[in-house]
Amino acid sequence: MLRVKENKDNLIIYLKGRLDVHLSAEVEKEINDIIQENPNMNIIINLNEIEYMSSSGLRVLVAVMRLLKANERSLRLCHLNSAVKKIFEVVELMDMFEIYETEAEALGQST
Amino acid sequence: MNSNNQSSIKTYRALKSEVPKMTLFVKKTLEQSSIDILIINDIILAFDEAATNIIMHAYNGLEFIESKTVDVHIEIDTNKIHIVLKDNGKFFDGTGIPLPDLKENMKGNRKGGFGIYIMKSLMDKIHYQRINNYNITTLIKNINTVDMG
Repeated sequence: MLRVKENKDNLIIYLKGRLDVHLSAEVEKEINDIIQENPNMNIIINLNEIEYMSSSGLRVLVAVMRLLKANERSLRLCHLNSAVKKIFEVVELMDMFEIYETEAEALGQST
Repeated sequence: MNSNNQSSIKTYRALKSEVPKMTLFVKKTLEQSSIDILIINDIILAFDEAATNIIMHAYNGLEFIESKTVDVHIEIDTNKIHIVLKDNGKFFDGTGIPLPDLKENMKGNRKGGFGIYIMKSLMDKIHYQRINNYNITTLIKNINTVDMG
């Protein structure tokens, strides 16, 4: 479901497929494990290959953002397709996340 | 019902792993009726929330019930789509939850409240009934079907 690439002090997590109630708990655990195993890294989640996301997926991203903020680390999201963007817009959470069009732009904002 | 009405029904086991199959059934049924893809996507998102609520809340703690099912009934007429979800779980009115302030939720510990927001935002009407120990959740979307002429 996910793969990870390292870029300086950032870890880029690539999510793929459906992020709904069926798989969200598993994905959340995998991301949490990655965050705990890499205590000094900021996280970029690339959503380019997400075909579908329900509010269960949104909850995963909210939980990840909270975990990182509590540890003074950042979460950036990039490559939201129109279906994913739609759900963020419906719940009016676009401005609660750091969202970038491309991975390069997300990396460019690295602190 | 007039002659243009289309009706499809399927029964699924109330499992998280069945949700993708249910949404696929809704998607394919609506596609066959030439419903606009943007409307289909909205309906799928709202339907997903309703189905997830049933599995996570209506059947929560009812492991002793062997036949935990969700009936999905889709009815399409010339200007409306009705999607009815029927389950025999405990009383759970997923449509009656007040709309939360999501930004306030984000400041606190809650991760959710999104489901009701999505259903109410994307559908024209949602309603709930409890009949003979069944929960019946109805999602309604107004449409103008694509002119195939």
